[in-house]
Amino acid sequence: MTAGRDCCTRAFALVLGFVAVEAGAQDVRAWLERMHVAMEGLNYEGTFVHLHDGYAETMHITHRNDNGHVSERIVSKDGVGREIIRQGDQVRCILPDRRVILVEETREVNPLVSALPSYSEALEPHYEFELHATSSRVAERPTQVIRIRPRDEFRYGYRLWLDQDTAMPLKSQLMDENGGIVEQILFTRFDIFDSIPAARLESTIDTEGFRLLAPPRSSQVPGRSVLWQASMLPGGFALSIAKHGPLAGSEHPVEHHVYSDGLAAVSVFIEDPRTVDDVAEGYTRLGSTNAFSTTVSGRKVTAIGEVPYKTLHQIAISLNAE
Amino acid sequence: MSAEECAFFLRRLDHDPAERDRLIRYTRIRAALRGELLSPDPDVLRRRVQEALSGVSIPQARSAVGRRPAGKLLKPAMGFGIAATVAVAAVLTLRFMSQGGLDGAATAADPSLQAAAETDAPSYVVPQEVEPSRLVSPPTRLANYLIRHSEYANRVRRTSFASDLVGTVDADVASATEDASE
Repeated sequence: MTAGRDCCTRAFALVLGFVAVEAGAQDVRAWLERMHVAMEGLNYEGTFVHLHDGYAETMHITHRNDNGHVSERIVSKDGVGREIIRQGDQVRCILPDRRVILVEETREVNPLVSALPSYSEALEPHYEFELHATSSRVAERPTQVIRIRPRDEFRYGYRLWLDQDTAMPLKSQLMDENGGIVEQILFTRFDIFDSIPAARLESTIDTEGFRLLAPPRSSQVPGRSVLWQASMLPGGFALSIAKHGPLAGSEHPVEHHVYSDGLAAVSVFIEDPRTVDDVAEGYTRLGSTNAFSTTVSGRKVTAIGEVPYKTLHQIAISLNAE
Repeated sequence: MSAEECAFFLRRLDHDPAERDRLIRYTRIRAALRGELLSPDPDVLRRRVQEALSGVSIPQARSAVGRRPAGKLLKPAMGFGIAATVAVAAVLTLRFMSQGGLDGAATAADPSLQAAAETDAPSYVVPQEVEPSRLVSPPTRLANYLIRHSEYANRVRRTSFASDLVGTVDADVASATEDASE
């Protein structure tokens, strides 16, 4: 009799545990979906601090959604005051220190890409999701904390502080496999508006005399048959995009592959080494982004992404020309 | 700790050789563990303490001319200087703790975060050795890559990539280290 009751109690606890885990997963999914909607859909301005490698930089972001037309401007408040302005399918990066404006077109972005930040069950083997039970405050706003832990050493984890009202990430930490903070973004001011004037998205830098580097009008070729294959991808990573075409400031075509595990993404650029003499071989860090460049079958291969070096290395060296 | 308490603490150190010796020992141990060799300038330290207490900038010490032989003063002055450093550090630490630290409000409101902080935070934050050669302003081609890649990154990371791109490592440092690699 007692044994039967124990058995029932254990089964009940097991079911409760399963229900709790499932409910937690549902909550995380809901929060991440809300976050995605908020980041694109809201009109907001804010000041945030970007911390990485012992450096702290202050940035200002203006994000406008005018009936589905999204534009965004991020300005560095320190140093030379570089800007990046995203308007529709065009991204302009103004580098006053180099007197250069880089322009990239993003017209081929497909629905798969916009689905990248979403939660999916395919992430479960590689990440552990955790919803903190209590809230915290960032920029004077209550937030919900979500932690995403990698299950192996090929990807980074995240800790996100999402605004309770809007699900905007007011603080985010990128964490390495040991739990160390690789990078942190922390809003110190965040304001939401019903609308934002278009003038707020215009650059204040006098760009007269700047060199404009834009890709030639010859279009990119998405979906073209892939000439290169990665033979040994880290678990969970798969080819999600393959394109072929020139980048800004160059007539020469570049093979661009994106490998993703559903959360982290690695881009691989493959081009003629004679056309890219300013990218040194080996490892480079750009802020919190890692890059690895090498030569494979006579082509310059550069892998770049928010993943540990070993992931970039493994993907880059496993490429084979078909 | 208030200014009065701090002054009292300093007086006690001044008049209690055993306490002072213990603090000096601990300071040396700490310095040894951190790999920071002790080479205190007693005059500088004394001025810093007095400035901290009075809030007034203290002029430079008298010139070497007419000073008593340094050797006679060196030992007690070093002891006082080290003790004063400890006092200043204690004052700053206590003030920081009483303000809850940078993230105090957040952690105070969130016990789970407190627990996480306790487990995550190292007992002593060793200054990270920043390798300048790896903190670069991207060469144009890498900037190209970064912009293109950011379009395929998840939305949180897109903001981060933009920050990486517009982030400013001083231009002169950047140009000197553009071709950084391992």
